[in-house]
Amino acid sequence: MKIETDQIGNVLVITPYETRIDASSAADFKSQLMERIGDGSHHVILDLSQIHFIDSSGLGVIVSLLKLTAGKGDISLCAIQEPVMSLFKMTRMDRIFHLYPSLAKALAAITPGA
Amino acid sequence: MAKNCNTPTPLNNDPYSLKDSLLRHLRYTIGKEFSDKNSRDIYQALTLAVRDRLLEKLLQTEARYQKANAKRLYYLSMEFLIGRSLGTNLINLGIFDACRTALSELGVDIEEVREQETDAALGNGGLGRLAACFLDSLATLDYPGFGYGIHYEYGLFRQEINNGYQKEKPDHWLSKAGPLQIERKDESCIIPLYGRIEHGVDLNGAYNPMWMDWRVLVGVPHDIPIAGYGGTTVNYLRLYAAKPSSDFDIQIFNAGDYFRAVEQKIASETVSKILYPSDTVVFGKELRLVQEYFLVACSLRDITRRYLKTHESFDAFPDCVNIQMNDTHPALTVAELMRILIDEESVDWDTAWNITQKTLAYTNHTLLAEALEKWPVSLFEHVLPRHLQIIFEINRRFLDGITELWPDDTDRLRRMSLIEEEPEKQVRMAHLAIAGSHSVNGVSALHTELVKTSLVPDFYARWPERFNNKTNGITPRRWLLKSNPLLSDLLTEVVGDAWITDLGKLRDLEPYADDPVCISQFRKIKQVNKERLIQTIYDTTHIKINPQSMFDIQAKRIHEYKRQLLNVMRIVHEYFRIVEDGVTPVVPKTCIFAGKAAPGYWAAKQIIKLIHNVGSVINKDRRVHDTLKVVFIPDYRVSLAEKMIPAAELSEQISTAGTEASGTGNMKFALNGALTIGTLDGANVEMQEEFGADNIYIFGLKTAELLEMKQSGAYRPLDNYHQDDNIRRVMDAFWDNRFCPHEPGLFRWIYHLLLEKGDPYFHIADFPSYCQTHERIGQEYQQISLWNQKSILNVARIGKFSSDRTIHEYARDIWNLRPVHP
Repeated sequence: MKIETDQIGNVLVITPYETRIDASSAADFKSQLMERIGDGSHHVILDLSQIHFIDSSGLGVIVSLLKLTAGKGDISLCAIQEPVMSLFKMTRMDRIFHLYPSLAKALAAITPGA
Repeated sequence: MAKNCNTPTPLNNDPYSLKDSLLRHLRYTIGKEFSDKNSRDIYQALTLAVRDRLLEKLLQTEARYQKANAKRLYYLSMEFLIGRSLGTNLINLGIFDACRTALSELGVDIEEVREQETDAALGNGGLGRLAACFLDSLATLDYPGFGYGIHYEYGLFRQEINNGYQKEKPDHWLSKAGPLQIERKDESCIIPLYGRIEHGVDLNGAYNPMWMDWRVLVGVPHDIPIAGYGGTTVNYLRLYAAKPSSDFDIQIFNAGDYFRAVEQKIASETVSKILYPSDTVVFGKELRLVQEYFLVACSLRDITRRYLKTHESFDAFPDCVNIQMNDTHPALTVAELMRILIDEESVDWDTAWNITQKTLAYTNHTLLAEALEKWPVSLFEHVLPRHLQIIFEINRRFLDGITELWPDDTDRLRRMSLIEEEPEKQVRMAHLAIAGSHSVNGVSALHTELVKTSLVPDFYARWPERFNNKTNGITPRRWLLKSNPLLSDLLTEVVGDAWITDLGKLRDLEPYADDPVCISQFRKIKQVNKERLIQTIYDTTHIKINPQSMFDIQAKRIHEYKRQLLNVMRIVHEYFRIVEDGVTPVVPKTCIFAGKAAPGYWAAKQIIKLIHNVGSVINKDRRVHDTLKVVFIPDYRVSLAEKMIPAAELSEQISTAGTEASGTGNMKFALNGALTIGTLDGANVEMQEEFGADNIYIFGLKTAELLEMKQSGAYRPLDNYHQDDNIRRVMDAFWDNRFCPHEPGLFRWIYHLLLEKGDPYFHIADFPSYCQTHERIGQEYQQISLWNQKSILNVARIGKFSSDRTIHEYARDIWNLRPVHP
């Protein structure tokens, strides 16, 4: 799975360049995220703009990020495509993350003075 | 005026244009030269030409609904027993004659083309056919009403008979289906199921149950256009096929695990693979629960998506949408709509519940307590963990309300709870449907009363205003105009053609009931229809039928409560009267049966075998001299019904009083001039009211009498056996292997069931009056004027039983739905 990261100020932006995250790619997705986030003391924005389908194992990985950063950092999600957003809502996962319509809006909200 | 460049030139419906469309499709869609074509190609090309015209009208209809900002009705049903569509579409679009001319100019017979179409048997019986009749009426009356169902790959099994036994063969109708339906992949939806609930908190610290580890299905809609009569309104029936989230999981595939990728694909597609072949209820089958949820989830996803195109919030949802649940099969709609509103749209519970109740309505279709749908809580939790949570919460609040009204009445709480506690914890789907709806209707006056007083009296006590009756109906377009063109022409000649959309207009036929010319024409038409059926019988069974015999037909699902067995007992009695008592019948009779038995229903399958064995003995017995014949026509389906019903002279509607919710076969036969012999059950009661007691043959015990006999224990069929020679002779024949000399003991179960195990459907109790009524019928059938007068009066007074009347009542009383006329 191709994932790119970008450090903008104190925010780590992670962008997976895949259209689909499912059981066959979830493990790789998770290990790459863990590697980049390290000890979880970052403020992370996960840019999901490229993802058009995500299954429960993919969503499970994102939830595990939340647990990793609990008390140390923060996770925000942005640019969620409609089919994926629909799944977030169906499973009530939209209620445990800060969600933003675009990366720019996420950055503006997290680093208002920047 | 500037020409609108966005729409093509409208299609014409003259024979030349239709021929041109057909030939274009033959060449450019099917890819054949006319010289290479066969009947199947012509059928496909004609269907495509007709589909073009249906789609044109469908788009115009949709534009009209949008312009009117019309409220929409969605009819959710696990079954739509459509049958064939081509003929109905030609008639309803008003292009039948033009098509016949176009085909004739090509040297093709339209009837040969129509015979190419296979039935879409996406239903078991009455419930599914009712849904199909309703769609016809909704479109004919210009109502914005749409059917939502499952795109089964296999419809109801094909029935073959082998040595008198039913053999089920798969009906892969899709492989033979014409190109009428339109797959709309772009409107597919994602449906999660299975998984578990993770209890956590949201960003504000509030309880947040997250649905984790689910699997996902994709629902792909297929639309079948539904043309109303006159062709100005074309609605659609939307059927969902289940697909995996991708055709193959390409990464599993690439990893070399081809078989796992294929297995995943097959498991997903299994959901819409097959219609469950029971006309009552399917218990405990996980796949069936998944199917029901799949229907509900896909439908609501589509309905809410459409609504949200023009609305910001759900406040106006009940003003724009009504959802009718056809039996409890789609009762999960209650929980799914609540889940959408609460989980996805963040609506608070009370508001969500108010919206849900105002939007949903439920039709009950059965009085058989054993047929009320229930699902084990354990299975529910496994398949739909979040929905179970919601149902528990609905139940908690519901029972709180009951406790307020009836304090300290714990027995009432136990009876009314959405969850049955013993012997196994189960979700009671009927209770869920009633609690979550603003309307609960039965399907005949008697049935509705029994729903209120016997089936769910506690719910009636809680919400009397919700309960109402909507007596079933049938569409006269299919069941007269299409299936009986000769009678249709005669009726139009006598009273005009307004009856086609206003069946009450047939009242104008009454003065002709004793008109010798009308009677003569009526008889001739019946005779032609009988000859047509005789050919079908010969083609399928090789039995020759006397065309002058009375055609006495019982065609419906085989079930103990419908009492095909009582009919057989009466036939055996009449046989003994001929061969043992030396009594020559006053009228020769052909007793015709048709119907399928659920594959797992042993007794029903035995009854089919019994009919064949009794028929085999009687039909071979020279002493009978052709005065009595018994025939079983295999593979009863809509297209066969369209041949049988116009040929019937006597219609058998003989279910045990208080068991048949309505029946609609009874109405179809009467519409085609058959007289009814029946019990006071279902809609027979109202048919008697409409026709007059002299014009229907009612026999047997009434519901209240049977109930009293059951409760008091006064019914002792063995006593009747000892006291009545006729009963004894018939029952002894079953015991003595008279009809199964080569399989001794085969029918002794009947003796045991009826005489020793209490005869739960009261065959013995009703047998004498049934036989006496048949004797009277024989006498009256001989009196040609009298019989045909009654027959004509049946047709004249059938108006109430049009599904147009039923739909108008639903629209007015339940849906608050207005027609959108062009």
